[in-house]
Amino acid sequence: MTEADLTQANLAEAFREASALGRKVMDGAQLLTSVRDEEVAIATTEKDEIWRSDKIVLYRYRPMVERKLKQPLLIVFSLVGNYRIVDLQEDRSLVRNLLRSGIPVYVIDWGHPSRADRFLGMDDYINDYLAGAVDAVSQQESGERVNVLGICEGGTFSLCYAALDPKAVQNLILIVTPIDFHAEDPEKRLGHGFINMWTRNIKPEDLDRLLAAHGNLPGELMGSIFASMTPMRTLLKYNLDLMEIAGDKSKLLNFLRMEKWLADRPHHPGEVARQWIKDLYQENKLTKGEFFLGQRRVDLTAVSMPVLNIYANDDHIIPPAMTRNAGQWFGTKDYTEVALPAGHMGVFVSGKAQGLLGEQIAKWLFAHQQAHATT
Amino acid sequence: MSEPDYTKFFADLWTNSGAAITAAQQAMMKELAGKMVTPGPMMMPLQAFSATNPNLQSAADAFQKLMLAWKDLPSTVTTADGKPADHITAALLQKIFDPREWLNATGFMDETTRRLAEGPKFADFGHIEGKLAALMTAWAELRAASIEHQTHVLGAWTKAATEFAAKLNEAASKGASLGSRSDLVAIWVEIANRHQLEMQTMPVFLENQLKLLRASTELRLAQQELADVYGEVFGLPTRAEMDDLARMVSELRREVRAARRASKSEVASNRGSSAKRKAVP
Repeated sequence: MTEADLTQANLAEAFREASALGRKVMDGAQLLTSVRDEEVAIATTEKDEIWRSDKIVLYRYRPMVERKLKQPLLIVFSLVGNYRIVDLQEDRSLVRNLLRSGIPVYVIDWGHPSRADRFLGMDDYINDYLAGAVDAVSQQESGERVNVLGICEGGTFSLCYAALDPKAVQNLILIVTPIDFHAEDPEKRLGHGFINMWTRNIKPEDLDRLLAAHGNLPGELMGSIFASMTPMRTLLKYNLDLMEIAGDKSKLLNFLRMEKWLADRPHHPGEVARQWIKDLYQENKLTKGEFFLGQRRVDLTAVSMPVLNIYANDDHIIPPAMTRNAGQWFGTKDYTEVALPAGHMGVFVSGKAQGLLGEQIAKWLFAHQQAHATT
Repeated sequence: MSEPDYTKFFADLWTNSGAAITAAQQAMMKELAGKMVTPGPMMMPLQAFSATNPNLQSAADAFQKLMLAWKDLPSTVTTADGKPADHITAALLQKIFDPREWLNATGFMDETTRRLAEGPKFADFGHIEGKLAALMTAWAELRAASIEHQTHVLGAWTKAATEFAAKLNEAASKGASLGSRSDLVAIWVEIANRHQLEMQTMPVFLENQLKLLRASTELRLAQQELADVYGEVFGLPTRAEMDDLARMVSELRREVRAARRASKSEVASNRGSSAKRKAVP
């Protein structure tokens, strides 16, 4: 092949690629204009409000199949994000997977705290709101004890609640939950555990000033920290990544729904943020048995119910070390640990892991409960 | 550009120009911050932005050089045999090395703290000199911290660019193809991501991040103080008064919730005793 042939071949190849790219961009632009608001709707599984306290709302999902589990399941999400990720879309929904297994599901919506909520502390959220929601669920279910499923910070809240009021909790399920805040990733993977580094780098007086200035820990700040943990992903998602999926409506809608969830980043109430960062991230009081909610010490050895602890192998926000082997702190002997092949949010939305998550929870719950008496 | 020039080109483009820009800007902001604390006429700090200021001039010159070098990139990129690269590859490389993208793209923290601090625009001007001077000092400090932050980000990009250029050189010296455009992007993404993440763990970066957070907090507080002065003048509630009110409401709600809980458990225990009573024959 001569040099001229090579140049000709290069030009032809470049032309083909440019045409393909042009077509993709045009298809994508056309597709974007045809997307309707309702197609990007998230958290669409039908539910009813059954209880409310200040900004906190408790919902009960409508059953999808015949009930197979006696005790209900209450989902407790983190205050850092929004519970809607557990019901992102029809084919990526932990809620639907559980409902289809015959499990009655309830969820707490923490709402959107404003500056007026800056004085609410973890004691309010755990001993008032979470405890109130558990009571309300139990009342709805003729006094049944409740299975509590906590996610990330919501897992830590649920764990504290279970330690303070073990009789109210039938089974405890923790997902990507930080427990030992000083545990380091033994592999020291790049980008993993940046939040631990960031929170320990803040001086207590800097945090006090920050909260005095903003009242709460601003959602935008947390969002920017999460974004900086995956710099190139964040940089490319609105150009190269979007172009890659521009012609595929299903992938484009998945992308837009995820973006919708990410854009809704609530502020973290000031007092909760102060305790979360100082007492837990900086001083690791929970596993030391030195953590107090109001006047009550949170004693993890009081966690006497069966515990299922699920973590994500590639979690860069809560590295597995922060949650693995948590059974050593608890009073219960019935402790099960499951690792899923996903990242922090991937466990809920990745095609493979979200299915596994629902399956594992249902399997474990059925093994730990009797079948519903009235089925 | 012959084979080994990839490295030289990127080194010139980023190391020299980037360092010159940031050094000049830092000097300018330092000068501004220094003038803020010196007593004198209110307009004095603005001299730092005067066209005759040598620091500002050298920052502008350095940035102009960087932009010109970047604009010339498509005409200077060649393949291993010295022939010009096809225009799409050249354009892609130009996009990858766009200095504006680099400085903006991973300044998430920087951008967010600035946005948080610059919230209420009405607080950016006023007549009360003391509060205004404090506000401007805080603003200058935030800018200085922000430039330092960008210097770290630029440093990581420079390291990434050097490694990327070395990879391209290696392929060129072996007469190998640069691969498809998506191969090029994948190599760049892996290298750039690694360098950005490595930078985030460096003590000097963490120290700057804290400085940036402090500076944005102080600016916000200075704005609130100024707004409170106006609030008092016009009979509006101050931030502190609103926060006091919020605290009282929170405490009252807490008491209401506790009272409701107590009454509920009293009702439940009464029901329990009446059930027990009924059970007794």
